[in-house]
Amino acid sequence: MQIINTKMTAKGVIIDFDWKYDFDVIKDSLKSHFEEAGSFYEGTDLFFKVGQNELELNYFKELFEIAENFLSSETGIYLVGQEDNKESSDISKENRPKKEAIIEEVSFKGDTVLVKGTIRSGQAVEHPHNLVIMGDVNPGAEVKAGGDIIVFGRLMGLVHAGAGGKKEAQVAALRLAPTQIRIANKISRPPEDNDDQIFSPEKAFIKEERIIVEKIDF
Amino acid sequence: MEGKAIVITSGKGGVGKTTTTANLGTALAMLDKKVCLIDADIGLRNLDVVLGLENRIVYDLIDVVEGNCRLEQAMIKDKRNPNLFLLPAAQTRDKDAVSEEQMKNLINELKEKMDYVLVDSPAGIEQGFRNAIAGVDLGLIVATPEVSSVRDADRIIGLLEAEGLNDPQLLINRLRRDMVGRGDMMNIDDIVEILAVEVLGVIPEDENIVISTNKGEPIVLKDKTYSGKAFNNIAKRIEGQDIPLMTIEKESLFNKVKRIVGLS
Repeated sequence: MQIINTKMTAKGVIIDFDWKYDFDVIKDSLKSHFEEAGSFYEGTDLFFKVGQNELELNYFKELFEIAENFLSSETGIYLVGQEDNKESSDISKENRPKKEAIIEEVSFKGDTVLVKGTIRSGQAVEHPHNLVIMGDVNPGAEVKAGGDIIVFGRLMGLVHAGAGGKKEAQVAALRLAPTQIRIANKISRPPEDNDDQIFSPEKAFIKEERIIVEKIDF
Repeated sequence: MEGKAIVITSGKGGVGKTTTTANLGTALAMLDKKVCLIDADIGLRNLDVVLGLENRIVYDLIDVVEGNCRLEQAMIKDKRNPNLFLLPAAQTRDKDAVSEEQMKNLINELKEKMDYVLVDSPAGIEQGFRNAIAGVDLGLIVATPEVSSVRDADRIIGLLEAEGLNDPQLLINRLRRDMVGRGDMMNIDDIVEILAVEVLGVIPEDENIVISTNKGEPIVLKDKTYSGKAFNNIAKRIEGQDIPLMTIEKESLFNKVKRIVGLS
């Protein structure tokens, strides 16, 4: 991993820092990055990833100041992935996502990420905290979160809630028909002959060491 | 035990590589052989779906070569036949996630445990194809009786020979007796004349294949179907038995009735 890593999303550019390096080194490489980038960031938004570090806010203030020196005022700069829950931060520490998350449209609201659109076969969405998906998750797609996962649509792919080991994590969907469902370290798959097309919202959670699925009562 | 590794490939897409892999694997397992199927189509995996094993995947081929799990952990035992195993492809990665060297090592490891290792190759001649043919002993080419498919098969045979995989065998898929009879479709001789390789078997066009694929149940489990029988015969030929090719000529109504009532 380099000192700073950038990732494009439809919403903007995410900048991730490797906090193993000295803060002055990080600052310098961010400066030279902006120098090289020239007008590249015109009109796009920037997201600074906090990572698992419990950093002093002034650190980010300094990084913000560097960015503001180089960028026009139209460029928005945000912090993302603020970790305040030690338990679920495991996912970013040990199981650092290896797959590129395909996030078409992302809006960051605290520790929950909202993803709009269909997640198709071969696409993977991962987030250290809660995930809300406004759309279907097709068979062959993977959705993974350190916390809860809510799908406003049909969940037919592979889903893994509480991926860092959080057993209280839940999965809810308007139609819960995943290929496979995982919560924390438990794995389950729906019965083979389950062909019913009832469109009723269900949720899955761990109860007595087993994954239970039940209807959501309104 | 030193098993045999066979790659099922075609160049052209949609000619039935995955269906062939699933059915030959199941047929060989029914002959009491230990078989492992490898889905080398990373990023567009299908073999698990055709076998109805999609929901059992926890680890995949990439996890094995990257050392995230042991080989045995990634091998899924078939739900019908305990002799059959599947090593699934990763769906969220691409062909460059694995190298030819890694595939070679993997196949050598599997050959020690299995009688047969069947590798389902992706379409095309790029890295995915290179990975699929690494470390195998025999090339099995699937071609349909169409000019484009035969042309691609010819290209593939050349590429296999360049890799030292000589004498590949040919499997002609989706042959339609009625069309061959009318002279509207290439017949077996036409194809062999161009490709000059040994024909291992001929599979007739059969709508049951679509049904079986959609259900995730290989057609060889239904020996009554014509295509299921054809696949079972091919498996026996791979095992060295001398089974003649089934007659593909249009059968008379009388023979058809006889076959349906089970007299012939």
